[in-house]
Amino acid sequence: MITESKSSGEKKEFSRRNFMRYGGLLVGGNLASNNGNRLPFTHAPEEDEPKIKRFKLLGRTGFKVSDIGMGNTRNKEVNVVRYVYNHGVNYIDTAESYQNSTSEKIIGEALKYMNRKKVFITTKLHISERDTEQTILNRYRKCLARLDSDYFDALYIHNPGVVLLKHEGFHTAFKNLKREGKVRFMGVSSHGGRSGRDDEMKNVLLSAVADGRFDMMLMVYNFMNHKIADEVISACREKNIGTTAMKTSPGVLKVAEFDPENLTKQQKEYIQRFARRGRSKETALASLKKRIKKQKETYQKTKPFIEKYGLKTAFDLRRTGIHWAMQNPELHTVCVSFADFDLVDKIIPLSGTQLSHVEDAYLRDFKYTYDDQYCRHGCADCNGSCPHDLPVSAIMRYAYYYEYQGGEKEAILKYARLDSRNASLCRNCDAPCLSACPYQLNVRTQLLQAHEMLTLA
Amino acid sequence: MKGVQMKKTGLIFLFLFVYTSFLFAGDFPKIKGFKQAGEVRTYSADNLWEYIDGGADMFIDYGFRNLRSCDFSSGEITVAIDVYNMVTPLNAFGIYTSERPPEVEKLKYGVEAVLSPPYQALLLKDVYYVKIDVLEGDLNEKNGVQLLQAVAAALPGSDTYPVVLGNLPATGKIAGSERFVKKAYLGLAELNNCVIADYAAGKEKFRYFFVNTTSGEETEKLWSHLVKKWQMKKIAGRPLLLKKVPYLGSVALVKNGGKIFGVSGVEKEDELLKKAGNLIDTKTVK
Repeated sequence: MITESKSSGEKKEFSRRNFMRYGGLLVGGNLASNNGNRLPFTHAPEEDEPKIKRFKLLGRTGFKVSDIGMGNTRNKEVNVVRYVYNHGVNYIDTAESYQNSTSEKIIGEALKYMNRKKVFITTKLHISERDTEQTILNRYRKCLARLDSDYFDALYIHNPGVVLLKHEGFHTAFKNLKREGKVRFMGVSSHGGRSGRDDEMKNVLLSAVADGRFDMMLMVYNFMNHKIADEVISACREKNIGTTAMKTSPGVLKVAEFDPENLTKQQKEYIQRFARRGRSKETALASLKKRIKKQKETYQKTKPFIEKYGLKTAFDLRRTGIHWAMQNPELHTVCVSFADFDLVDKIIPLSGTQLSHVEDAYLRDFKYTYDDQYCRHGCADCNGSCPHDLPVSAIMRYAYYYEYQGGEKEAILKYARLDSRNASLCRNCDAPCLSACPYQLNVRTQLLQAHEMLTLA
Repeated sequence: MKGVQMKKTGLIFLFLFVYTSFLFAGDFPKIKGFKQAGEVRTYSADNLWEYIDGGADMFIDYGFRNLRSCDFSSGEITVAIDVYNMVTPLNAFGIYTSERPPEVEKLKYGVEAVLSPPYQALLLKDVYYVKIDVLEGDLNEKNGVQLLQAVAAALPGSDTYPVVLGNLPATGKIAGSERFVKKAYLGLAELNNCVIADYAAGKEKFRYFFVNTTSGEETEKLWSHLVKKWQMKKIAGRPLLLKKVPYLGSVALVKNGGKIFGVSGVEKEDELLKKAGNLIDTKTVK
């Protein structure tokens, strides 16, 4: 519970927006899922169970880190953390914001079954201009209390813009905490591309490298999206900075077939949504038919890979993507969001192994086919290329909400708010945007498709 | 006659669409006694990470559709109100119970609410999970309750707990311990959509749960899948499935009323089987 009294001078300086928005609820979330279910059983992997085989030096920290790490974003089970640790994973990443701070508590519970010195635990704090040294100290101490440990191995600034890298309050707080032995190293994470150049992963992480004070970086890295991270990793190597990766899978493409006699639940819902808007069933079916045609084309493109490489599930793509990321010798650990025992059993055997020729060929083929269709997470390089000043990446995102996230109404409303500044302008444009996408996406065609979808034209 | 009925239905849908659009078309429900203090921020599953970063994963697991967030002020207090649309009341209940602080008094605003002065309040209503974070000033019992009342009144939908919670056995259930885990309950990839509660029998504590399948067909499909992976036993002539979970001991499952029920947290196997047997005749509600 928050116990600061009204007379506390610290409290008034507290940046509540960040602290609370990102879940710094001191009381934590519901840990009951573990209470009463933690019997005093012990378990260590049997001799024949897979264990981590490769460890790398985590830059200047000097810690030998397992090539697979754990990101505890969604896991609610203390026992899964214990299981991961007992299979040799010695890097666990969390954040004040994960699960309204419950994630730190879950790791803290699991920590009672671990050797503290043999595991590297990191947490992250979002900071804003409002934060001060004192607010950061307050929040960090609560993180420590939830972990029930004397220290975290590293404290990250969570996805900041470039300006916040030099936040005086944060650096002073960190110095004090380090002097007190409550933290060992400093890091920065970036997903990139939040609202403008200041937040782009490349700018943030390269600025952090240049700053010189950061010991570790956490970045987006996958086989479809690694050019920026490659640059960052290279810069980190020069300064002996630890490198860790997240979002190692580019996502999943839909490969479902269509049977008009046996519509799926989603397809039925699609038709119902049209009905709710007062559109006729004929219109809905026509739209669905068009949509399915597109899906079929995607399916036909994907089918050869599935057959050639024996991929049966989306999970195969994810596992291969993780395996690919692990091959980079300069990337020290790959954080996997483990949330069940099966996933641990399937991923741990990848440790220390080489990507097979089949896996490599699959990823190359996949990338070759989808490279010009995959609008990268966080990329906004095309913005500014349009003579009509259309917010290109935003329109692409609205189309994505509509098509893949079930957010049709929201997407249409958002798009409608652009008013006349919409993609209908692309019809008679000579499209300078075609050369703007670093991944050669056909921006004009995609915008026109989005316009059709978002206006129900 | 049919045409008139269809027109009426169409008008009702149109009204609902316009009504909900008005409520959330980039606008925000009016919060009585509070003044909007900024733009409405909206997020979908695609960009929720922009707001809460890795914390978005869990919301997406729970079926998150969109978030509308806006700052409000009244007197000396300014708050950010985040309204998460989780599509179904059960999903909203699941994310709410996973973020709800333990050992805090549960208040009857909306379906349920909790107040954690001076910084935060949470509220559940229908498909909405609401997080209220204080930006300026202090949240106290008085203004916190006013705020929760106003937010609950502003949101559409039902004030009752999801009906399916009624499937949990009543005897020995610890009040307020119900929760909903969308994925990998107990760390088992095959146990998804589980409704759980804690139970006490004397000094012994354990848990009952059920998998919230939505049809008999889905239940049978899942059961067939589990039969291949779990150990089969019989209890009172009925099949029972057992599995050992690392560090936890065994979990038992039985079928009843078109659903799969389970028990965990019991150390001795004979006792576990007995408790599983009790589930076979439990009356189900939906």
